[in-house]
Amino acid sequence: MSQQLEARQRSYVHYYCPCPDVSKSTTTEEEEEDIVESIPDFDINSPRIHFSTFPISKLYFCDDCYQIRCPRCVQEEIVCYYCPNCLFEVPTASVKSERNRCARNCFQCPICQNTLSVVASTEPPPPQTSHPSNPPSAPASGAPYYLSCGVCRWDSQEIGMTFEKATGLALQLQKTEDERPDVKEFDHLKDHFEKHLRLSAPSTTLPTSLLSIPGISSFSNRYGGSGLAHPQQKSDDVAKYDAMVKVENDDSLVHDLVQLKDVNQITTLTQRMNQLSDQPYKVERLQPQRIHLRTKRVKRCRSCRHILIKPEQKAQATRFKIKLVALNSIPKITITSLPKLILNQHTEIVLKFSNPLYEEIIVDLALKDETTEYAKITLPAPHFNITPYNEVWEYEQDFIASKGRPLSITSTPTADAASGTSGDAPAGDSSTATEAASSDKQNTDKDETTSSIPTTKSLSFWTVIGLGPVIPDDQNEDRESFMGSFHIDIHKYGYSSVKIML
Amino acid sequence: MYSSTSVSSSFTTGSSLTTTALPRRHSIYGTGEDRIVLDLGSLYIKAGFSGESRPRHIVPVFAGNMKTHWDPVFNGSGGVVKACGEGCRIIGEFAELYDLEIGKCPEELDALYDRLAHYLREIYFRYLLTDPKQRKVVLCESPMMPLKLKQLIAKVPSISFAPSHMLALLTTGCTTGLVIDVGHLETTVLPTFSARPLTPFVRTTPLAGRALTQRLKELISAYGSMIIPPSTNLVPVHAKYLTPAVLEDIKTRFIFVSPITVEATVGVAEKTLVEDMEEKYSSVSSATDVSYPITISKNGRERQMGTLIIPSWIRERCAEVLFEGDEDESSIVGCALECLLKTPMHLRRPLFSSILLIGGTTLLPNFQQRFAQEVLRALNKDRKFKPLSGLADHFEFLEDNGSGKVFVANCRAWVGGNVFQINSRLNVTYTFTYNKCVTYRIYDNSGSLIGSLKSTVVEITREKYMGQVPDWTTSDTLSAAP
Repeated sequence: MSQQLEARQRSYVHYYCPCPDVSKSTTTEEEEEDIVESIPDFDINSPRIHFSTFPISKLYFCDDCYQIRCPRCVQEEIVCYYCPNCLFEVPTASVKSERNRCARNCFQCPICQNTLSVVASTEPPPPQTSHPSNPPSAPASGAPYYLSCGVCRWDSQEIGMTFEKATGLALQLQKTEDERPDVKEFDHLKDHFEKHLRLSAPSTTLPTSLLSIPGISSFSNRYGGSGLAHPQQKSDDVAKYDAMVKVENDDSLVHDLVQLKDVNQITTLTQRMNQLSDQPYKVERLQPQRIHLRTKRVKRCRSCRHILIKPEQKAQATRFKIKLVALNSIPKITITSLPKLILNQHTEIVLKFSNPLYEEIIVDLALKDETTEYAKITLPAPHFNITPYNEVWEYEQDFIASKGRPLSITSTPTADAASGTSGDAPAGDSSTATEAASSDKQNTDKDETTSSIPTTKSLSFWTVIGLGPVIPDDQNEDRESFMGSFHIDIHKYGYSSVKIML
Repeated sequence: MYSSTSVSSSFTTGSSLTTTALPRRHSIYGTGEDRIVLDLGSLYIKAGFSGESRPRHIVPVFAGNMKTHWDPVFNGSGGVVKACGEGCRIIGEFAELYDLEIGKCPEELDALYDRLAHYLREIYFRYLLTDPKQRKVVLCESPMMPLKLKQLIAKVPSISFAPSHMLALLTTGCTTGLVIDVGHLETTVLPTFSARPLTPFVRTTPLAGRALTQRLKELISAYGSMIIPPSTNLVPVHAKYLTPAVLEDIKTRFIFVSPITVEATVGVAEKTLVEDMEEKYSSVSSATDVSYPITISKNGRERQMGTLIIPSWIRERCAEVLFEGDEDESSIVGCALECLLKTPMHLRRPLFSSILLIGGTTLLPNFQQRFAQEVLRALNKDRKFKPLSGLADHFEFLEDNGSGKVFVANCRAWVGGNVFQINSRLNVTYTFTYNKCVTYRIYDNSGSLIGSLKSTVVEITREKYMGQVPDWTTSDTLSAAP
C-alpha cells in the first residue's frame, strides 16, 4: 500500500517550455507546414530537462505571443514588500535598512522557525541568571512580556529575553543588534582601510605607464635578496591594525560535545543559518529572528513585455489585476488511473484532458518515439475533440495508455480503452489507448498530440508524463532484496511527450 | 565616512591633488551603489549586500525545491544523468553545485548553468528581494574556482572577481598571511604578502569537507548501528539511510576534532585505515555515544523514525582523515607547510606567524588547536619540513592576536568581499615571469590609485563581456584593456 502511495506521489505530468527567448540556440520559425516538425525538439535524457519542464500550476500563458511561459521566461518586477505575518507593507526605502526583515513585532522561533507570539507573563519571571547576551530590558524588574512559540513551546524567557512593552519589539532589540561584535569590528575595519586609502592616495599622481616599474623593482629587490625595503613598500603596507573587539574561543563547547547526551542541544544547520551573526553550536545561544519579508511581483512576458501577472498593490489583497496562467488556457492533463507498473506486463493508463476554454478544442496526440529501449507505447485514440468548458458540466476527455507484455506487440483491444474511461459521462467522447511493451526495467511513454482547426489558433507543446516506479515482475523476492531493487529501479519513470494543437 | 566611489571617481576626473582634498561624502546605505556580494561554494552560497558585516543568507544547495538528481560520485565523470536513468528525478537530494572538473561535457555545463540560474533567481527574489538588473556583483573566488563557472556567472550587469583568500585576510585588518581555506571540495593554501596573493605558490589537497563526509559514511556504515522500530534490536546501518543530508547534519553537529593521542605524538602523521580505527581509538574514547533520530520511511506527511547510534570514537576521530596525508594527497598541515617551503625564505616568517584558517570545515570544534599541534609535530618530527623547524617559535594564528572569532570562518571571505568593495577600485593583474617570480602590473581603468590595496580585479560589464573572465591561469587576456 505504501508503495502504491509512493508511486502515486512520484507520477507527474510536466509541461515542457522551450523558453525560446532564453536559450539562444533555439530559433523557432513559426511558418511551418508540418506541425510535428515545428515543435522544438527536446531530449528527455538531457539533464537540462529538469529545468525546462514544469507542472501546469507554475506556468503562465501569454495571449499575445500565444505561447506558454515558464518561470524562466518571465521578467519579474517587485511591486511591494510586506511581512507575511502582520501583512504590513514595508516602504521600499526602509527595506534595506531593516535587512529585509519585519521591523515590528514579528519574530520566528529560533528552534522550529515558526511564528512567535507575544505573551504577557502572569507571574513575575524567575530571577534571571546573568546571560552574556542579555537582551534589552532590565531582568530584575520583571518585564512582563515575552515571546512564545506555539509549536515547540520555546519561549524567550529561557534565554532571558523579556520586553517591557508589547509593541515595537524589534526596536527594543535594535540596540543589542547594533552592539554585536561583528558589526562593530566591521565598521572599525572599514575605517582602518579607508584611512589607509586616504593616506596613500597622493602617490597616484604618477602617470599610469610608469606604475608598473616601481612594483617590479621592489619585487626584484626583494627576490634579489637585498634586505633593503624599497621606499615604495612603505606606502604599500597597511598600517598595523588593532582589533576593536575580541571574541574568545568557547572552550566549554568541546567539553559539552564530549558529554553530549541529547542531540537537540546542538543546533542544526537551519538554526545556525538563521543566525548568521555567530552561527552558534549551542541551542541556548540561539535568539529569535525577525521574520523575513516577502514581495509581490509583476511578471512580464520576456518577448512582448506584456504583463502576465499583476497582483493587487495591497499586501492584504490576494486578488490579481491580471492573471494569465496556463491553467486557464491550455488543456489540463491528469492521470486518472495508474495501475501498478509491473515489468513485462501490459498496462493501460488513462489520461484525462480537461478543456478550460469556452471553445471546442481539437487534440492530436503524438509520441516522440513509439518504441524506446524501455517500453513500447501505443495511443489507441490519437485524435479527439474536447467540447467547450461548461460551468455546469465539466466535460472531460479521457485518454488511455496501456503497457503491454514484451511479446504481445499487438495493440490493445478497444474494450480496454472503454473500460479505462472514467465514469463521469464524458461528452465528445474519444479515448486513446497506448500500447506499451516494457522490454527493459524502465518504461517510457512519449506521447505527442497535435491537432488543427484551420480557422483557429494552434499551439503545440510537449509534456513529460511520469508514471512512477516499475515493479520487477518477479514478485517472489523477499522484502529486503525487494527494497534493494526498488532503489535501483524505482527511479526509472515513464515519460509522455504530448503535443497539443488548439 | 568616505566611500570608495567618491575617492576613485575624483581621481578619474582630475589628476591634481585638489580633488583628493575634497572628496564627497557618501552614505554607505545610499541606494544604487550597494553591490551584491556572492560567495559561491560548492555546497552553500553566501549572499548579501556590500557594506554589511555578515551575509544576509547562506543558501544550502539542496536540490530540495527543484526536481533534479545529481549524483556527486558520478559528477564530473560525464554522462552522469544517463547513468541513472532517463526518468530519474529524486526530489530533495543534497548535492554539490559544481565539481572542480566541471565542463568536460557541454551538456553538464548547460545543466549547471540552469541550476545556477535557478539559485541566483531564488536568491535575488526570495532572499535579497532585489532586482538583479540594477545590481553590480562582487564574487569571491578561490584560486581553484573552475574557470568555466566564472564564465557562466559573468552574465550579470557588472561583476568583479575578488580572490577569496585575500578577502578573508582583510577581515583581520592585515594584508600578510598564510590563508588556509578548508572548504568542501578541497583545501587551498595561498600565501598573501602585502595584499598580493602569491598565486604561484598555491597548494591544494583534496582532504577537506568532502573527504570528511566520505570518511564519516564509511565509519558509520562499518561501526554504527540502528534501531528500526518496532524491533528493538541493533541492526547494521544500511547505506541508503546515510543520505548526503543526514551525513551533513551529523558532520556539522556532532563531529569534533580531538587532540593527538599520546602514543601518536612519537612519529609523523600516518594514515590509519578505516579497519584499524576502532581498535586504535575506541578504547581511548571519552565521549558519549549519540542516538541520532533518523527518518526510516516517509509516507506522505507521516514519517517513521528510527535511531542511528553513532559510536563516540567516530565523533572524536572522524576528522583524523584531514590530518593524515600520504605522498599522493598531503594532509592539511602538510599542504600548508609545503606551501611555506615553496615561498622565498624571507617571507616564511611573516607568513608563518600570521596563519588564518577559513572555510566551513574549520568550524569543527577544536580544529584550530589540533592544527597547531600537528604543525608543531610536523616541524619536529618530519624530515621533509626540516628547513622550517627554526620557525616553530613564531607559529601564530592571526585570529589569536586580532579580534578572535568575530567573523565566522565560513563567512570570512564574504565579509572580506565587503571590506574590499568599500576600499578599492584599483586593479592589479598578476603576470608570471620565467623565474617563478611574480610581478604586478598595476593599473586602474577608472583613474589611478596606487598604494591602496594592491590586488583587486577587473570589473566586467555585460556590454564588455566577450566570454573571457580574468583568472590567474589565463593571466593577461583581459588585463590590457583599460
